[in-house]
Amino acid sequence: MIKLENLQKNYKNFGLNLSLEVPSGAVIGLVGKNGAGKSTTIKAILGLIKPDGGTISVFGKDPKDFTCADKENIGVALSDSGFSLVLKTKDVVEILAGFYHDFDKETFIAKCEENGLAMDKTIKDYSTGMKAKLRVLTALSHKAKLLVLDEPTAGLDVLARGEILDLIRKYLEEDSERSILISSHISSDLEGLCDEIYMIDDGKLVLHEDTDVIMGKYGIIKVGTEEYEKLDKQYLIATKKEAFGYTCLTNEKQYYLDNYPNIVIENNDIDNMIILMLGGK
Amino acid sequence: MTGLLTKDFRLLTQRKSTAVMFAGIALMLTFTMNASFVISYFSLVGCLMAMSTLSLDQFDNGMAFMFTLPVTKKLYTIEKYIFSFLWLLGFWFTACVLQFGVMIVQKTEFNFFSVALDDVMTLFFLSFVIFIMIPINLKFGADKGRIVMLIIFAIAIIFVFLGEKILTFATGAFGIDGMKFIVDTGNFIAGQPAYILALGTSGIFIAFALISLAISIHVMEKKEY
Repeated sequence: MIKLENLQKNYKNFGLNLSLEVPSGAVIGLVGKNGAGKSTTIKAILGLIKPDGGTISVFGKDPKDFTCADKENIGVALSDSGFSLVLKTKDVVEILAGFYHDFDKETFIAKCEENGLAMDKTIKDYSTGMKAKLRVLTALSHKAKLLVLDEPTAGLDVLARGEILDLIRKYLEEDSERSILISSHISSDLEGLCDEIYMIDDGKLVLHEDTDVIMGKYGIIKVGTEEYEKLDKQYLIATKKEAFGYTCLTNEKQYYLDNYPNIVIENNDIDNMIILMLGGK
Repeated sequence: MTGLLTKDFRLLTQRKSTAVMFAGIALMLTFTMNASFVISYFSLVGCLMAMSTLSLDQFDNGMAFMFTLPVTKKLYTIEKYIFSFLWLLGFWFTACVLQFGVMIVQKTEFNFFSVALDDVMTLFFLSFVIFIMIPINLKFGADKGRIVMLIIFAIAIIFVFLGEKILTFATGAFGIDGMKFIVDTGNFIAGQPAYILALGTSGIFIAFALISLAISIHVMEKKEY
């Protein structure tokens, strides 16, 4: 559904150079620190910015050639942009009905009310969580084949994040062909949702892996300085100096479990991976 | 297009208190001052309100989200012209009805065609304000756009002032009566049959609208969000 080949975008102090693919029916997570290039990538995919090089293909088409009909197949939630704050929820309903042929008015109203978005309430009076819910519900409102969600849970508490992720999961369950590209710097959000993870830093891809592999084969090794010196380092992909010694990320957890039964090896998660890969040495 | 028109209409109808206030002022002016002033005033308010949808769209990085909706830059631009003109037309028509109503109530003697012609000229003039404001707002944004508009009006005033000086100078130095030429040209135009005037005016209107639209589309195509 989406294919980026050497997408390049250069700003004064930042350069993006990325290849990425979102196959049909897949959920792809884009993770990285703030300023890593996640939003730039998403904006390029949506045709909001013009790339300086490389190719972008969405549904086999360059985003700059998108027609209104093409855009109806994409549901989008951006972290820093949405409907005008002076509008009410009921205005959003009528506006979406005017934009999308497949907009399901009754379902949208029902979901808004389920999630505490009163029809007569002005968006500027919403809490941060309510605004985020409206953005996601808008993206889900018209049976889009592709969802592009940029930091949909940014700034939310654990409960609100869970509710938004539930909305997305339910949407996926309705049709196995639906694909999602979701970016987040809160990686734990993506662990239970994504099939694959692309980790980017400073505009470059640093890791592309199946989520199952990251969670299953990768591990965190915690060792003292002496043990670290004795450790076979061929499967260590990142190391960080700590007060007690070293924390290491390995992509062959089982190898170290088999050969070093006395060292501490913990299961990996994406947050730890980011800390080690992007904050380690 | 329906979605965009709905959005703009709903953006402006949120401001009910402002509209009521302007309507009240217009009503007051109708009974106390020259009724034709009310047409200009009320229509200008409509024109500025329509333009405010541009700043509302741009506020809080709203344009990025706008172009994730089924909207192309070209469609967005065309809709702005259509909506602005329709909104202006609504205010203008309301003001005209108000004006004729007041004149009838006050039993003022008037020539319908003469008053109607004045009103149409107001609509014509304010449409040109739209044709100038939209590309400037799109290019510079709502805030900088206001400053650019002020600069343009200042240049226009200077241009008229200098033009008059040059005409006076030309009359004295070369014996060319520039003012007479302008007055004669005006009289020549006014002497043309009504259908020629209507066709000419419509032609100028359409030409300006298309040039303004082409500039706006060009500006929008270069924008990134």
